[in-house]
Amino acid sequence: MKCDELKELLSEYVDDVLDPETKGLVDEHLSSCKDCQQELASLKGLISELGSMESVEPPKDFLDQLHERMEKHSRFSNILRALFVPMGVKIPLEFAGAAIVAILVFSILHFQQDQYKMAEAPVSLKQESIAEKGAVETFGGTAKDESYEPQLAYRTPTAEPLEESKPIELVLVMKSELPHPAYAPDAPMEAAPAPRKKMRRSLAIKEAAPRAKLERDEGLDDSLLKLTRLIELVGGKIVSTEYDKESNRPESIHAEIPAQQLDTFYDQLKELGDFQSAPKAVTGKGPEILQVRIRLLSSK
Amino acid sequence: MNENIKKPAGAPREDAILIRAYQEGDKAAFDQLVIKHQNRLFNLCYRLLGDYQEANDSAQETFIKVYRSLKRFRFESAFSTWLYRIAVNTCKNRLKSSAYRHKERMVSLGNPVSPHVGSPALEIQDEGPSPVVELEKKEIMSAIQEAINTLPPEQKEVVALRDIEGFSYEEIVEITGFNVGTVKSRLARARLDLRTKLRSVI
Repeated sequence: MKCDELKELLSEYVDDVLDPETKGLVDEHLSSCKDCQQELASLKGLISELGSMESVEPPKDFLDQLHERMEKHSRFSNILRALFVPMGVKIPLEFAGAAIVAILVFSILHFQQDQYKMAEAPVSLKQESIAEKGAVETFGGTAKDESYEPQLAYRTPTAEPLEESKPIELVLVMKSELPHPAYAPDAPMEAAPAPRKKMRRSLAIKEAAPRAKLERDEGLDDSLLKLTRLIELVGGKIVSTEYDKESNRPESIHAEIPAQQLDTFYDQLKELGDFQSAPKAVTGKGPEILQVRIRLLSSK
Repeated sequence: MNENIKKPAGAPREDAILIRAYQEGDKAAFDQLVIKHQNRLFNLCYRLLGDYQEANDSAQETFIKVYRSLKRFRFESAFSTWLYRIAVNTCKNRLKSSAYRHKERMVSLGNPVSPHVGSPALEIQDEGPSPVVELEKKEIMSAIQEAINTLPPEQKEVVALRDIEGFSYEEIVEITGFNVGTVKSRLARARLDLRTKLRSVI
């Protein structure tokens, strides 16, 4: 056996885990090789040093620290268990906290998306905080008018439109500047005569349209605001608003209107603009809530 | 073989008794398990991480993980094997985390021993044996720990488990999940590495 070979085997030799045959060969070589004997001694020396290092002891209150952690852990896990057991979901503790936050954030954002289709969302953060405000506010509504009352959007958790009816398609050519409509809803807006610009801005935040671009199509957006209010007034609900990607003009609104109110809705719509074609009337029978899609065209 | 190799903490039977007691509702039994294993476990964590605070965190984390699954422990392996497997993995994950990529870690500020590598103290022979020997010991330990810190993770594990904590090859196989051949070769490499690095000190 050569020295190189032996050196590879020294480690196992020292631990006595070589097979007898190989061990014999090593013994033989060692008996006459001073170099390898030195290697062996050096290796043994290292192992000896390693083994005789003083133990590093844990802090005296190690067990107490552990108890603290255990307590924190079980408090947390009890809360989570209460939250997640009904769902039958098993989540490791470390992830559960993150999971809760993720679920909350996701459901708020997702809810937002259902209501408003946005070309871009630079103001999404603001919208989120207003959404939270809206979700928390009670139904009666507050007299605070600066924040446009978002009762409309967050009234029910079911943001999904009903599948049964095909949406009624309307094309409305919006009139430009209109005198203040008589049917403006009372509570939220009238309480304080906020200047138009401000209202528009609130709506802008709600609709998540960039402020700068909004100034361009004032007439249209003003009408949009009125349309929104009208929908609200008849007890309907906006499902989504679509904006033109480039100009950021509102292009269409998809709303749900109670069938009962449809006639009223049409009447009031005529105040806002002209129908391109006569709107479809609805018979007595049929779904209670109708899907209506209103395409907005500027008169300019 | 090194006579100072530390023996496994207590017979496996004792562990089993404590675990069963815990599983039947005796909460104090868990504490006893901790007390029984904490020193050896802490030392291992320290050797793997090279930092006192990190070792403490890892050791605590390990026992918390044990606490969470002890009720379901099925005795498919020995408790200590299972315990150290958790410890090794916990430390390995900690090492992988970005904080550990900084080289400053190597200086190990949390080291209870002053990181004073080198021979100056060894040369001061005429100040009387005891203080020099003490200082020597500390310096050697510090040098060894620093050398260990520079080993690749798998080598570090096997040499710490074998030469510092005294586990058998079989136990190391169970704890690390490596097969025997891998354990042997990694150990050989680690020992060679350390010998080279510590040539001036040992």
